[in-house]
Amino acid sequence: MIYLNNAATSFPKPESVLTSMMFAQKHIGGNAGRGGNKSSLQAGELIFQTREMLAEMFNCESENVIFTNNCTTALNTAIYGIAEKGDHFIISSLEHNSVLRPLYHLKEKGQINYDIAFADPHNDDVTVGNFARLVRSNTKAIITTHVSNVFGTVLPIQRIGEICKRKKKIFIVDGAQSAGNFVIDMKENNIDILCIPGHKGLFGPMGTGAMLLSGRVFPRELTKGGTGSHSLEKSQPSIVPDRYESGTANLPGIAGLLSGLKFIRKMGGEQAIHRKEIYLAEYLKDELKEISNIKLYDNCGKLCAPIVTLNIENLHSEEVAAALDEDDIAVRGGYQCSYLAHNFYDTFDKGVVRISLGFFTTKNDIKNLIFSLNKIANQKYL
Amino acid sequence: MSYTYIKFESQTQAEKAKLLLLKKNISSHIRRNPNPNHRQGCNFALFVDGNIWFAFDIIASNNISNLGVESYRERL
Repeated sequence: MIYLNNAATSFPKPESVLTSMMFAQKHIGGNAGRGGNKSSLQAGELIFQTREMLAEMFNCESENVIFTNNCTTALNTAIYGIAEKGDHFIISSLEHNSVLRPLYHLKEKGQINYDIAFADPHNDDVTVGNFARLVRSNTKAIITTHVSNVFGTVLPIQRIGEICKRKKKIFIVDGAQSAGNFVIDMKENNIDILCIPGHKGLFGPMGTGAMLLSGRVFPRELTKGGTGSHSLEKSQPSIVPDRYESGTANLPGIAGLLSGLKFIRKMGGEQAIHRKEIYLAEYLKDELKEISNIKLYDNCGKLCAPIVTLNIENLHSEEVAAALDEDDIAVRGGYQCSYLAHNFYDTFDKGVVRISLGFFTTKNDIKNLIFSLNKIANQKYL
Repeated sequence: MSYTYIKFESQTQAEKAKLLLLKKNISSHIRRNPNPNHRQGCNFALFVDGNIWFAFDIIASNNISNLGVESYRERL
């Protein structure tokens, strides 16, 4: 199989990730924070090492790294954890449903309101101006994706962070597509809460993610229960990260994530990985421009993520994705869980075909994809 | 036998302190607190190889949250 759906989850994983997961389950086995036995302590140490590596990568304190099941859980914790009646939020026009739906839910309940800032892929000044214009006295936070999961558009988070700093608003960034592919410095970008998946650009397994806090804002926790600390108190402990991590941690998952982070370091860091993937994405775009009947969405601007979005004339994106699947090529058709991105780019009629490259994508994979797309685009029934 | 250790609310804080001390060439190890009190419940103990008060100063001056130094006499 040629796997080009890395924006959904990266595949394959480095071999070291699988080995670490197996090791954790087979040889550590203990439940972190639940007991003073060696296996429990070893599990806790491994989890701490992962916190440290994430803290170093994103420039925050290790105790402010909160493990979650995925990026959606992190975003839900951040949004529901800070929202109060009467609050106003600003989001971008490219948000994933994991941002839109919690806010829409709160709005429907009459709790909050939100506005949408149009993200211009070709002009950061316009994008930044659109965000700044919407800030009100009751604005609680600006929430933006760093990279659109549909079009690969990169948003100017540093400049949006400056607005938040100047206007004293909370800044939440959805790093679902950028973590591991772009350098994200929480301090430099004035990010209060960064939500990331562990299983995409960080090469960890599914079921891993994190909410990283600057230390300026602490959302209310969504779950309460056993933390392995303050066990004789009836109320949830206030210490971080414990207060956010009730229940057993995903040790094999976090062990895999730790190996994924080490893999990134070994490969030269986020920028080296980004360059490798972008090189092939640019090659793909150039080749696709030569094929008639293919519409490429140029919604990327100058700085782009390794995502190529297209449609083939007269075909629904799901039909194209299914045809590629016949050739054993995995891409994603449809709407990519983003009402907003499709609404703003008027692609409700047939969605888009999203090709998302990964570290293990080869030039040969791309050549095979081009061959298949050429075949589909020039079939007789078109 | 009696032991003296630095007490932490969570393993994360204890690990953070352990790492900080290691960077200053002071080795230590973490155990579950062998003598938790009824008010606080479970917590963690950092046993330091060397002068515990020197280590405690380093930890405190680096703002790592802790519950202070405690001694415990082993009963088993």
